[in-house]
Amino acid sequence: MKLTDKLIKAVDKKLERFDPLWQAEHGVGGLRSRYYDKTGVAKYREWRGVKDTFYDYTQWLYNLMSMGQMVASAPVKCLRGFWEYRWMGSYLGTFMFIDRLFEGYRGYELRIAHMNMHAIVQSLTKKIALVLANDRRFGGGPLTDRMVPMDEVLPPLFMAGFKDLIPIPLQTLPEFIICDIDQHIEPYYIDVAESYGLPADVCSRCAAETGVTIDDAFPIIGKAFLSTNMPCNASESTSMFQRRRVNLPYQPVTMAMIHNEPGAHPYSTQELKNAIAFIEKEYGVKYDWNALFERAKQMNEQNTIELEKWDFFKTPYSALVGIAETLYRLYSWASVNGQEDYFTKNDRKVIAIMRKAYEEKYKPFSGKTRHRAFLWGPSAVYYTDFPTWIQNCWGINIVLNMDSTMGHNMIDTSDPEKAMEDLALFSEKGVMRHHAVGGWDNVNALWDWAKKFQCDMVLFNDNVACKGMNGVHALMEEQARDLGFSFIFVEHDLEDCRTVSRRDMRRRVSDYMSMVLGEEPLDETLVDFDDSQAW
Amino acid sequence: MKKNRCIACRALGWAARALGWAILAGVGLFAVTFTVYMFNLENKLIYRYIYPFLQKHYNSQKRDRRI
Repeated sequence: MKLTDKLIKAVDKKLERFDPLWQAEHGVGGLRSRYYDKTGVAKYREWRGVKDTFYDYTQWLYNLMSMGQMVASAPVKCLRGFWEYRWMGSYLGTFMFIDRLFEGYRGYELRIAHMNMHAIVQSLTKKIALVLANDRRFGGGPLTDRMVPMDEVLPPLFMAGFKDLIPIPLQTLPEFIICDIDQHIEPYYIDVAESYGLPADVCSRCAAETGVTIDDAFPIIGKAFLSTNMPCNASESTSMFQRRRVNLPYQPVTMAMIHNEPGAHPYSTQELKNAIAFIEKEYGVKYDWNALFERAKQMNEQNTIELEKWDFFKTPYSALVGIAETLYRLYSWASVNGQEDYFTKNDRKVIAIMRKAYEEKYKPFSGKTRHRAFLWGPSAVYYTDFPTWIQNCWGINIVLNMDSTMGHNMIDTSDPEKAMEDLALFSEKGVMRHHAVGGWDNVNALWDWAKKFQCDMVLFNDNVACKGMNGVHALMEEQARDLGFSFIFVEHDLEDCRTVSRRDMRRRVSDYMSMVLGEEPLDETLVDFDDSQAW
Repeated sequence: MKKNRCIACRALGWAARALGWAILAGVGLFAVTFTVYMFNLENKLIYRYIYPFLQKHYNSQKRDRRI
């Protein structure tokens, strides 16, 4: 052992009483002990031992620099963005958000988690700066007319054939991502929508998008808008409000909903072709198939790596776990979608670490995992760190999330016709489209997924306002009993933390774990606490 | 020759001093940023002062809510 390692070991031993995992093990505290009550503000950051604390500190600096670069790239417009848009103010919660996502992470899982998180931070900060620098509300910019606002649930890879245009998923910055960071932002927008008579029982995500629309809080960019039919009545309604507010020529890309039938694919393929023709007409540009093939190759490599990751997920030795997997896959698939090289490079580095960890038979979370769970159904956006809490409190490792099973078919990179067909299939299996409204077979596929990934437990997110999924509740309960899975329905209201709070969600799990399974928590301080005023 | 050596000595002296200052600045920067990091100072500042200030501003905005 090297001298430095000996020294670090000695310091770690000396300071171990400050490590919340050690405190929980010895009954003298835990991960929640360092917080001010209710607020989610920590008195001090987590002590993870010398190496991991220092690594966490360097990543904090790294993310700070990305944010500094964002402001430096367009200082006046970024500041005007903070002043104009309520949702921009919520991005200030990013550091606290990252801290709570990776509580209890150590070693390889911490390294991979930060690599994935930084990929998101550097991408998102660039995107925010780009949008604000070209927002017509602030006088526009050189790229304003080259941007194409599009619905965020339409995978933007097919737009790569327009190499001089920049597709911008319109709702991602002001509505979706920001709800992950600040649980209190969407209730404001939901109230705006409801004050105009929108019923309170629709999907809160659609209500929040409508609220952003009515509050005139979307950046103004582009010359034409691509909307979509995603994926329920409330969503179609909010698309209509958005089209009116955006007030640009628009094309609804209405992909097939029930797409397992072979007849659906030619229809969806034609929809994509129509969208391309619309953009060619509105922007006066020609589609470049070679440009598409270049980006499709990136997406194919990312999906190839993703499939290899799945093989590791099936074992106890996967260093990529929980929210570090879920959030990254969601962002890199739905928002980046093969368009940024950084993500391919990051995937290569992550898979190399995963291979190494597997060879070393490294078990994440010091091997404290007791259950392997598959997380199904759309998760509560306001409780992004739920997978972290459930591992730290009850030792339940969420091996894979439903959203991570999105389009993983390869795209042809030589024949335009075949590429379009592949892209149609790829897009049909997009976020929520495939599972929530894609037909019963896709919902019921859960059990096969759970078996394939060696899970003994299934957590089923129950978005209380999702009409599409309300009918399956009892059916899933019955099947879980028949198949012998430990099964927990976790009610939530997607983006409205007032209906079902984070605390309510935790209570549902804790009741099941203590009463049904008779287990003791790993960390007593995490069983019940109030974080109602936390971001 | 002697003059040249003196110039070389002086240059070395400057370089040593510059290096010293750089190390000192690095250590100082580390001390400040690590203190901010460890005691969660940036989040305390944002949560207690900046965020409430911005909320007050947002609540006073007049938005164009025509539909």
